[in-house]
Amino acid sequence: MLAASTARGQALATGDLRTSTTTPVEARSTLALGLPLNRGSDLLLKAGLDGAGWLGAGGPGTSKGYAAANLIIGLEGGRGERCAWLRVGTGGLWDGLGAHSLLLAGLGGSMTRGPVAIELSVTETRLMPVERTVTLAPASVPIDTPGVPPPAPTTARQFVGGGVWEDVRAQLKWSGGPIEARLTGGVEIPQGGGRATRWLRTEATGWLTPQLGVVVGVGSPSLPLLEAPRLSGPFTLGFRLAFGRAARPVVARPPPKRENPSFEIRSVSGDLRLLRVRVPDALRVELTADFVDWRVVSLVPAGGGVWEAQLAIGPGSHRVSIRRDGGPWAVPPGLPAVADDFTGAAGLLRVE
Amino acid sequence: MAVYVVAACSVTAALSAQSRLESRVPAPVLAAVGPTIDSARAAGLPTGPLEDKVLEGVTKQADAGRIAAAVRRLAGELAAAREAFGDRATTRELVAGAGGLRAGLTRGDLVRLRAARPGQNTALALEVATDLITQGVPSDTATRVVLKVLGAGASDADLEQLRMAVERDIAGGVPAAVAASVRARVLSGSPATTIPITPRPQN
Repeated sequence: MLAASTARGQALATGDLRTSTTTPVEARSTLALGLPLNRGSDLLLKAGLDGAGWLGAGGPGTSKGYAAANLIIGLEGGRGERCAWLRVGTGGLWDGLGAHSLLLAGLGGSMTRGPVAIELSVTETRLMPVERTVTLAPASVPIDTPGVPPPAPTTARQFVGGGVWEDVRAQLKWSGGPIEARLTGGVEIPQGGGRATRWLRTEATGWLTPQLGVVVGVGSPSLPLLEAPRLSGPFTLGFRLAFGRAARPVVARPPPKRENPSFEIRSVSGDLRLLRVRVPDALRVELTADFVDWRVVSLVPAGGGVWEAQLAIGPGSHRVSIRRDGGPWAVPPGLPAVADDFTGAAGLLRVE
Repeated sequence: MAVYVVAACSVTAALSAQSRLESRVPAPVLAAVGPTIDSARAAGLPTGPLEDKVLEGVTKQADAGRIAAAVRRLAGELAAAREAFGDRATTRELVAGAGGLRAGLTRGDLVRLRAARPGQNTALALEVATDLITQGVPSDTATRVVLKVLGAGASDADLEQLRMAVERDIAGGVPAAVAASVRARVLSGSPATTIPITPRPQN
């Protein structure tokens, strides 16, 4: 299942390949793409694909797979440290009974504080039953009655394996150096009665390289519908792969385009540098920074929404703010933000 | 004689700072920040960063109270940095230390970073640790990573390369703490002080 908090950036692909004591092969992959709904807005849209497959050792019913496409709309704050989202998804699940259609709807939220992240979510999983034809035994008629043909077997359509589940889960994640630890647990409640599945799983990932990690886990044998076969081995061991642009813990803004950067700085001669910033539709753009002794410098339009100035900027880290059309001072687009005593945030410009 | 020279220099510096602020800073703001700057000067702290803070506040149209609060806070951080570094610390080191404290480093972190580079300028190491925190690396991890790199005898160029490499790793999708730790581990595992750097993507 696509977890919003695991999609750290604008385009992120993850994959797990594991084995457990009852499921020799367990594969899972996620691909997520995040888009801002409006420039400068905290309202974000993310589309994702995720899928998983399990090859069980216990015969039919212990192997299954699913795939789903998801759409997530999120609202983030605190530079991505807090996020709330709604999501809908559709897909299919294949198990020992056949192929089911799958509908997902849910909401959730997350909060990150230093190395610790907490995520809560509620998801309704609607699994359509599989239709199959069954042959019914003929009615009890003596077959040796003269003149009476033997009864033909009758068939009937049967719907099996459907249902609706509410999946309530919480995840606590801690990152310390190359180690990540997760404690995930929840309850899956079937609608219309039936026994709820309570589950808990903890796992640790040791990143051998930035893209490859080793995962060890232990958990309760009963797991939710889309986590594993209903009964899984308590111990898992596997590898985790991560690729993509991971900038934010939840739903992140798009990366600056390299071919059309929002902020550029080029050396002209010595400490003299050409600074260019993209501020489309502005009538006037001004800059202030430590390297101009906190004076206000007007930038010159260079066409295509780009504004520029040649300034003496020495090597090191500098704090920069810009304003458009005399408005409030803000972080220049394309620069990371740092805390500021007066306007909340300023841009951090590193000059080599 | 030396006392007179020092006193004369102090007076000259004070007058210079005063004229720098007086030409650009409204009187109510000057009145609000004056005592803090005078106290800092009397305590031997650099007043340039405090004046910069005043000018920044004025340019950003903050009111006198807010500017005075920001200046007091910075003076406190500079004083804390000097306590950690000692009287011989340079202005750049003190400013970097104040920035580190603001970002989440502790006074103990400053002392350890200073001790890891005895007799040398610690400013860049502090700036790199602060940058790592700004990029999302937990403060304890950032300190550990920079200490590890310094322990391997890294030069200023190595520190700059570490900063750039971690920044590129993060931009490439690597969790911040993982990027910093892996880079530090690679460095500490190598007998040389050369950090393997991901080639910069071509624009």
